[in-house]
Amino acid sequence: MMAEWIDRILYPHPDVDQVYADRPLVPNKVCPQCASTEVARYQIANHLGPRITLTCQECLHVIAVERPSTADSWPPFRAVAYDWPASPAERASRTQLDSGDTPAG
Amino acid sequence: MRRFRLGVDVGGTFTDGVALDLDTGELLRTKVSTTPEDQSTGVVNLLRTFDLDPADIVGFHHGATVGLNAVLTRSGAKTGLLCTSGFRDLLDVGQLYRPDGDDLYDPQWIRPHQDRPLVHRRYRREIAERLLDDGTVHEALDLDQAREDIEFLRDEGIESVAICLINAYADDAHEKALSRLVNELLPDAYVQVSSIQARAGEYKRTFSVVLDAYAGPAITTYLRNLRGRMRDAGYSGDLQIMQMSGGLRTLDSTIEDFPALTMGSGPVAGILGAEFYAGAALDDASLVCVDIGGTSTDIGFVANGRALVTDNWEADQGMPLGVATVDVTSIGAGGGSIIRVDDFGTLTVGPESAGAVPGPAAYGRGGTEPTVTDCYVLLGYVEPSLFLGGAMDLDREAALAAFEPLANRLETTPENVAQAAYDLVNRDIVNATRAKAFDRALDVRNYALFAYGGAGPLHAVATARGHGMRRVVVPYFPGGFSAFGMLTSRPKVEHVTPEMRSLAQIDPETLAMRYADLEQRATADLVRQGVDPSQVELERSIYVMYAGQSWDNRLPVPNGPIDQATLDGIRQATDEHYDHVYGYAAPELGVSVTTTAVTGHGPAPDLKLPKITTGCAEPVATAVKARGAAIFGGRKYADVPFFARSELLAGNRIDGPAVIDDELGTILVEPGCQAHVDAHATITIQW
Amino acid sequence: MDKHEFASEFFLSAPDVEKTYGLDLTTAETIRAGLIEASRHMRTTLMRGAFSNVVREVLDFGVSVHNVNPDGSTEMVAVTEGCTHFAFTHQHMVNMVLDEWGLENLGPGDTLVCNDPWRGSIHFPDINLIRPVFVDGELAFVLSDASHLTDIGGPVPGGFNSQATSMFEEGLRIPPTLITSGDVPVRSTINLILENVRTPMHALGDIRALFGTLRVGERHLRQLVDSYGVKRVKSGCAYTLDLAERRMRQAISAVPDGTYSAAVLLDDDGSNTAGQPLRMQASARVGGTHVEIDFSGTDSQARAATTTCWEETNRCLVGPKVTLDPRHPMNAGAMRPFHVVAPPGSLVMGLPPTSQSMHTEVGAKGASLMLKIFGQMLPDRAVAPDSGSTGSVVYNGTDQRHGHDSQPFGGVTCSGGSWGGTPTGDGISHNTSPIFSTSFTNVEYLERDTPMLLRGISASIDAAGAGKFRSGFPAFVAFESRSDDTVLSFLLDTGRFPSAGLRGGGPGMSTYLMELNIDDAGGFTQWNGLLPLDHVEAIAGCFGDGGQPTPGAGWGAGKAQTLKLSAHELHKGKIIVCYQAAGGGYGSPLDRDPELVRRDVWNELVSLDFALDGYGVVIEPGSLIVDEAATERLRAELRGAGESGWAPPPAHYRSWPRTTDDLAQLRARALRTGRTTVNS
Repeated sequence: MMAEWIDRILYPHPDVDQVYADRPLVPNKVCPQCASTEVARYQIANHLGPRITLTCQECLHVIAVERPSTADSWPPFRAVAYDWPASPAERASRTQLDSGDTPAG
Repeated sequence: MRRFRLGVDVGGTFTDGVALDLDTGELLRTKVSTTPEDQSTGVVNLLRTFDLDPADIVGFHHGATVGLNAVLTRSGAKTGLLCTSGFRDLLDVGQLYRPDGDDLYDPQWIRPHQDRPLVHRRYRREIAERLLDDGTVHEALDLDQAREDIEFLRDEGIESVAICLINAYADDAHEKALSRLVNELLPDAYVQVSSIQARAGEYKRTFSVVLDAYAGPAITTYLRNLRGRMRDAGYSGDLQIMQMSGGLRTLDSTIEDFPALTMGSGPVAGILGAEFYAGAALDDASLVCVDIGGTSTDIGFVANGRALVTDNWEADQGMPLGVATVDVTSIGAGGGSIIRVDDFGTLTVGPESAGAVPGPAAYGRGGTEPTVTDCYVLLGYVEPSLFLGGAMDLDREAALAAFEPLANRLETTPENVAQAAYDLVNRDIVNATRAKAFDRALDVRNYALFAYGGAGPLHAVATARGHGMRRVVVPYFPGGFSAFGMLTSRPKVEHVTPEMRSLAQIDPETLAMRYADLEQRATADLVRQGVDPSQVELERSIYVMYAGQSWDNRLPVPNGPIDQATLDGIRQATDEHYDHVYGYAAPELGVSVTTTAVTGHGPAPDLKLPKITTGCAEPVATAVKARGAAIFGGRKYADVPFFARSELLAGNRIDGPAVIDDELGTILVEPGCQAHVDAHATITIQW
Repeated sequence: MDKHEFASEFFLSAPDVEKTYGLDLTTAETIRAGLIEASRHMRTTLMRGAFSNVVREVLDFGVSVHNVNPDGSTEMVAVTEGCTHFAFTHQHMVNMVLDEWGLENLGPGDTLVCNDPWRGSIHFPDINLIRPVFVDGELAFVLSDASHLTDIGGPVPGGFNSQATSMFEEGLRIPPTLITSGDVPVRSTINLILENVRTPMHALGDIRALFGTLRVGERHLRQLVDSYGVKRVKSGCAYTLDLAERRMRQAISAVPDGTYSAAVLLDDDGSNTAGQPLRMQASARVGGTHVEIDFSGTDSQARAATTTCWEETNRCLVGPKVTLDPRHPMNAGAMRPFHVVAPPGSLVMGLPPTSQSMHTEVGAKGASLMLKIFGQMLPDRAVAPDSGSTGSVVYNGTDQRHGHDSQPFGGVTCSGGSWGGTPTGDGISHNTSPIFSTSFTNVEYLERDTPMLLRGISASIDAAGAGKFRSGFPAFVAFESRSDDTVLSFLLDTGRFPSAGLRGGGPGMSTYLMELNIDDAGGFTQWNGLLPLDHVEAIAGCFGDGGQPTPGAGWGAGKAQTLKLSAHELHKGKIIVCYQAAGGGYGSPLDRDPELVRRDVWNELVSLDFALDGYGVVIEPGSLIVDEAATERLRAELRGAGESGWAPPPAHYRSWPRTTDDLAQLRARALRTGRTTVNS
């Protein structure tokens, strides 16, 4: 368990001189636009931030874009407490709103 | 023998004149075309049009655009600049940043001074010298080297020399020495130095000096020539020149002091006219002033009876005049603004204008693109038989034809396009006004909208509603109102002293001495211009900011004896100002004082506004000159009456929808509004 | 008129707008203007009220308005960017911070603060505040503002630690943290920040200004909602975003499908050991109206602080913004057509715990790189690269002047640099990288508040990249101090590899630092940026024989081996002059109108020698009249020169004076030239 989160907050310095992105091909996927099987699933940033895309490498048609899962390790950094629940202090205002005590916005 | 005071404003297209009989209140007004080659010709033409006996003219207040034109067309004097070594390119560097809006990412954008300089780099000569912020000499002035540079300028045919050294506001000895040298080597040259605006801040101060050196000669020549021509026309009295600071100076003292301060005087005069109205004729003391002309809209404020001033006016983008001027912002939207649709379906209005030629499509002079005036035609706001006194034929078909291509592209009707364009102009005016109001921390909802310019009253109600305001006020003669503003103005001077120290280091005695000195200078200045010392009114100001900042704020200081309570009051006023304008106060921080200032005014003008006869609530039947269809808010109204303002009487009430034609302008009374005419013929519209 | 003539997938007619957004055209446009206006008012508040010199003088801030989508993502609908990179970073930052915090945990009056690059910020001194706006109990909008604090702790005052090998040597890192709860400041957060910075008064002032700015934005946004209703305002947001997207896609649709690549080199990693240059490589693949930018092939992250950790994935879009659709307000819609691939561990996707103190140079070079790539797509929109360097100098110390009680002081001054030549005109002089846009210092105010003396900002002769349309001229900025306890940090690059020209244009002069001994020289003796070399020490840059600045010559031969100096001492009696690099020229200088060359010589921007060698223009020294026949002959000769052809020389002045007498002679000669002026 411990190995997982620490891998995403501290990294060793890369031991390569140049860095290249991985674009692993997804087997048995066909591009709906050009029928190629060169469909890859890889890490990108779109306008909303870190995402995973399924894009045809032949014609560049974007088949799908989804939020990364934990297994994707993307973006590289993830906070230790990312999945922890918020404490009452952190969400005091929201709690008050939800309970109907504050005039809402 | 009658007594007339004249106000004459030379604008871009027209020269407007108003003559007020000081005893009867009779007001004459007229308008002639501006004569760009020599603006004084138009002024003389206008005088002839009035057909007054020159002996009956007791006052002549005047503003022209000679200075601003010289700057905008880069046709001013051949100017040189003497600057501290290392700062040769300050004018081109500007403030380094790129402006907001569409230029921000555009690789083709060039800073105006870089693109079209006022002073070519060759003529910007570096002087080996350097002062520190307290005026002590860090590097001595090398006069021998300076002599060579000044001889160079002489040999190059330089006509005008600006001298602006770093920290000269603290000590002008170096600038004075250079000035003497210039006088020796170029005895005929126009010379200007930092002391015209001895305030810290080299960027603004350099432009102050340069703008004056550049435009000053043209303004001086114009004023002298004008005086000669007025004498030839029979008038040998005083010519009082409108200053952007919000008052008048005699012609001679304008030439001696800082001619560049007359540059944008037309729009300023409009605000001053509004200020006069607020004091003399209205219930409202606070006004949002909107002046819509052919190419641009000028916006300013009168708050609690006083026109607001700014220190940030620019003659061109990045070229600040650097002195306190009545705050007027100009946006590129007016009656002649061209309407287009871009590749994406966005409707744009201006800033390009159809000008006088070809003009709006409806003018029939060959214009094919639709303009804002063509909107008025399609929406039914202008009645051809009344427009400009019936002097112009409006071609509705031509206006319609101009809108058709846009209507086809947008897949809607020409009237809808006209309505949309009209609404977008209103939106632009509302946004510009709101940005300004926000800058000044004004809540304008309780203000009245004071509308003038030929087209101002055509947009007034919509603009006022856009702000949540409740009333519009239209003066007796909205077209050419700036000329009236000049007429109501009084002599005004401002003198400043740089301070650049913390408030805590200032004791009451020092501050008292400072203001005493400023007051003496201001009074002497006015007295030299013929003002009776007993009629001089003085006001104190101070420029402050929290320690470590570089954006100072102008605050008033009370008259009377200065003691510790005064200083405490300044401290408190600073905190309150920050809280009100910027949303926070920082009482734990020190306050820095950058400048002290005193404004001096001559006596308030003795004039009565003209009065009209009183009638009953219902206008006389003959006041309705036409009836027609008009569109308001996308809805068509069939039988809208067109009134001639000249036939309305005090007490008349008109319910919207209605149009009131003023010969030189048009007033819209929208549905749901009511217009009321008062004894001064002022029209107030409420809803 | 056949409407199909105008039909295009990017054009929306009035009925289209009504159908798509439920708004008439006027309302849609009015709401769009209102959103932009909200951000303008926020900007006015922040600029006037903030404390840091960096905000109001440098414009290092951004303020933005964001629409919340049903899926919880947010899109920036309007921004007023001082430093332009905020127009890009805010979009990601708000998304990443809210994603981590959880929208379901936010309530009215909450504000989050974060400065972490790995959540989309830029570097530690830039603190970003994020505030949700609730309407009828629902989270409808988000406001954000950011500004640069003058200090953020860490070993180097100001936070630019070029020697840092980890973020632990940079300053205080703030993860998404509550700074107001129900509109009340969170004491512990305020204390945490103030107790870890050297200039707590400034920091508190800035934080207050940032709060005030958000309140102003909210007030304005609520006015819009009151006027139109929240549903219609949100529709207006969609219209605003879609409009920017349509415009960008239309521009992309004109680009032929394919892959466009380029690379740029940064001088070094800033570790002051004359290290290896750093290579940024990128390609942009265009397919229809979609573009995928890939930084693969870029060097791995630097060991010292010249690295960035997320922000190039949004900042790189300045390339298409400038090249494809510059004249429209920026918003997230313009970012929608792009996917960016930035491999982890590279210079542009540095991994924690790396430092990114010197992010500015990666950003500036990245912007140049992107302009290079996107310029290949539409040839008539291409512009030559700019200076590719921030050109900023950070100063800190204690004020040893009499009566100033050793007060700590700090500040930043930017010198600008220049943009490259364009297909239709010369580049602008004195202007920062497209990804920045900064303002210049008020020199006289600075001298009241600090012991710093700015001795000048002006163009350096012969520094512009030659071309049919040359680059703009960059400036030198000269610094002196009245306190012996003064240190300077420099954000500089393009010292080793000049900005290249385009389509035959010449490279601009490179960046260098020199130090003048005032007493020896008898004052600040300079002429158009030239100093007497005998009284000058070369600090960093490329210097040839005798210490003359020479592009491509001895890199690392100066006193320091890098331009990215941190805490470099400035002693009394010295002036340090920072000469910023120029952009590149566009088109062959042999095609430049000789009259324009003559005009530059007349203005002492270009020397007679360079007019000859760089432009092939023969000018008579005394009269400054162009010898047209000789010019034609010379140019024909140069054009026909050899197989490889003639290449424009790199911009630089070739014979610096050695003594003050030499300098005086240069000046004297200039006074005698061109006495018969043709025009003015």
